Amino acid sequence: MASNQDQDIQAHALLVDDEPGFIEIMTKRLKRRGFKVTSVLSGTEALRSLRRQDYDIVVLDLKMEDMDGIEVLRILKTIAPEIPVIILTGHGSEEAAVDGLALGAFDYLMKPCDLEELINVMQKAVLDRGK
Amino acid sequence: MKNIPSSLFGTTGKFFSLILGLSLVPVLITCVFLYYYDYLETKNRYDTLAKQNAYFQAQNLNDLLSKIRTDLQLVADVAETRIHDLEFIKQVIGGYAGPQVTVSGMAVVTARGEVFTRTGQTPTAESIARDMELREGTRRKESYAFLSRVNGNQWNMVMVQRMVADSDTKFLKAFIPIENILPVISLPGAFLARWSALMDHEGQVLSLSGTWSIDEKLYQDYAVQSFERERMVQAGIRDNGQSFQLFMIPVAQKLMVLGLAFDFHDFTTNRQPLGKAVILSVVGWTVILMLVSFYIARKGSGYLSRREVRLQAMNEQVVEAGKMASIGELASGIAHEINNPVAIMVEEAGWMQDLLEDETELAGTKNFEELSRSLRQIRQQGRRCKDITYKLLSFARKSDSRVQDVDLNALALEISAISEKRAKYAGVKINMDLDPTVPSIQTSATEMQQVFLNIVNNALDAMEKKGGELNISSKKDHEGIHFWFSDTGDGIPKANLNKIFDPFFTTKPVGKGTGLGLSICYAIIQNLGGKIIVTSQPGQGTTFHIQLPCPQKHVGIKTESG
Repeated sequence: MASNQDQDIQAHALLVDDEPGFIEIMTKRLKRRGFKVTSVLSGTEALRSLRRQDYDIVVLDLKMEDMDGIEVLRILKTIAPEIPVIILTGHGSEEAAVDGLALGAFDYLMKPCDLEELINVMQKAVLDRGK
Repeated sequence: MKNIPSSLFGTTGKFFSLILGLSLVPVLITCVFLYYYDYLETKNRYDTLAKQNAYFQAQNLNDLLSKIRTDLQLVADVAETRIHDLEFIKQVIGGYAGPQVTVSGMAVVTARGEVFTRTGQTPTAESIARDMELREGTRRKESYAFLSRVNGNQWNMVMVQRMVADSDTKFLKAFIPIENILPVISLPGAFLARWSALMDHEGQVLSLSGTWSIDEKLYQDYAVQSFERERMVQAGIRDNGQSFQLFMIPVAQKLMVLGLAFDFHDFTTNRQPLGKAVILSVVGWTVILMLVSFYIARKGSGYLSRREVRLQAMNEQVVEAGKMASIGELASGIAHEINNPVAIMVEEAGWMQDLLEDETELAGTKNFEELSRSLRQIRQQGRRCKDITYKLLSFARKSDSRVQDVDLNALALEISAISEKRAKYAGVKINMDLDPTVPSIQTSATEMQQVFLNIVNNALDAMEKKGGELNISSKKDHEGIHFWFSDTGDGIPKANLNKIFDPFFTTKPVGKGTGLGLSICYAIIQNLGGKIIVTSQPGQGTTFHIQLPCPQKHVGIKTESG
């Protein structure tokens, strides 16, 4: 389980999704690929966690019960504008994607997505930040 | 799909009969009224005419008698000059025959009752003498008249004129058979009494003309009444189902009664032209009114049925649009709800794949390969779910795509170019016949592309096995812009024709089609204010006809291809 294939990345990711099953499996898989993963189940939790700790990247769902992902993104960009955000959602409306990108999201992915694709985007985002 | 419901005809039928019924009511009322009015009018005229007729006949009789009286006075005056001269007197009375043939005979009788001379048809000398004796003592007048039954049954009216000269009194008598009177006094040509009669003071009939068929007693009462009151008696009488107008008039200075009975039926028969005219005009008006109301009813119901068909069509569109809208909402909800669990499934499968790779001792075994294949399959099917849900989500899109000038002809050419390879492979020849005057419209290029591509792909699918031709044509006319996509494929069975725009309806094998393509096309064209009409002949092919409204302004004509 600890055998890391991408040792060069030790990025700390915050996973925000209200689906426990999804959070659980994604955490496992990303950790296996060498990410440090913190997961939260709601937008408010995510914002609270962001105030306490710095993350390298945020993977954000759009449609959540307590707070809409777009709203989380807007606040996030005011308190920590430097953290890249990748939107990963099952609600694949193009408006939401355009809104998210306009608010400064790094990229937009639709569930279910290939893990490799997600990691690819995450790596890019981390590298982009490092510049 | 566009059938007129049968209840429409039911409604129209009811409407027709209602209109017809309503239009007949005033006609019938008019008819009844006219007929009744005609009856009253006829009866009124009949009464008046009958009364006039009766008066005229009575007047005629009185005139006749007074004329005879005057004539007798004249004869008497002449005879008085040579009263003893038998030959002279014979000559004088012989020259007088009375007006027409009324007076049948004359006689000159002495005061003692001897017949001095006579001429014409007279009773026997004895009966003349008897009459004389009977009257002599009672009447001392210049002239008088009485009724006498002489020569058997024959009733005569005897008019007596006294002649006095040289203290020798003689009487001039004129004999008028009662039978002779009635023909003379009847009005020629006018409508005739059913019967006319001359009666004595007891109502006994002396002379009758016409048909006497009715209860004699009844008439006698009226005759006696009239005689005693010395005035005309008029009565309406019903006998044997017929109505008569009866007149009893005392005539000849209260000597006789003239009775007349007019049959109303005779009169109405004579008055038939009026009745016929009334009936004809009523029938004519009925026909005219019926035609008019029929015409109005037809126009009205035509308007109604047209309106109903239009409403029906509108209703269908509304239902279809509503179906699309609710499908859109449902789709976005489902997409989201499905995508999450599918994502978890796919990730779990990926996780299993990750873990499997750790189990190095299993690598290369048969089960390892099978497990790997199975996990790959799970991930692949997950991606398929994603494809479906994202297609579903395109329903929920609201004018998301940027609106721009789209040259539809160029787009059609573009689509045909894209499909060229597939068409070649399927053995399909694509023919283009585009109208260069088709204007550009303001819409989303990707949406229109989706519509055209979908229809072209469907056409190619239909001809995949046997090959064929796809004809794409366009035209602009007063109705708007038209595009036709006609294939020569197998066609769509009638049962499926009204379902092809329904979401998830597909005839393709499972996994090949989502059944959403045409629903999306329908929604897109609907949003543009146009319509898609599909016609299909099974075995011969299918035509999709897209009709779009012309842009209000901005009618740019583009001929270049894109």
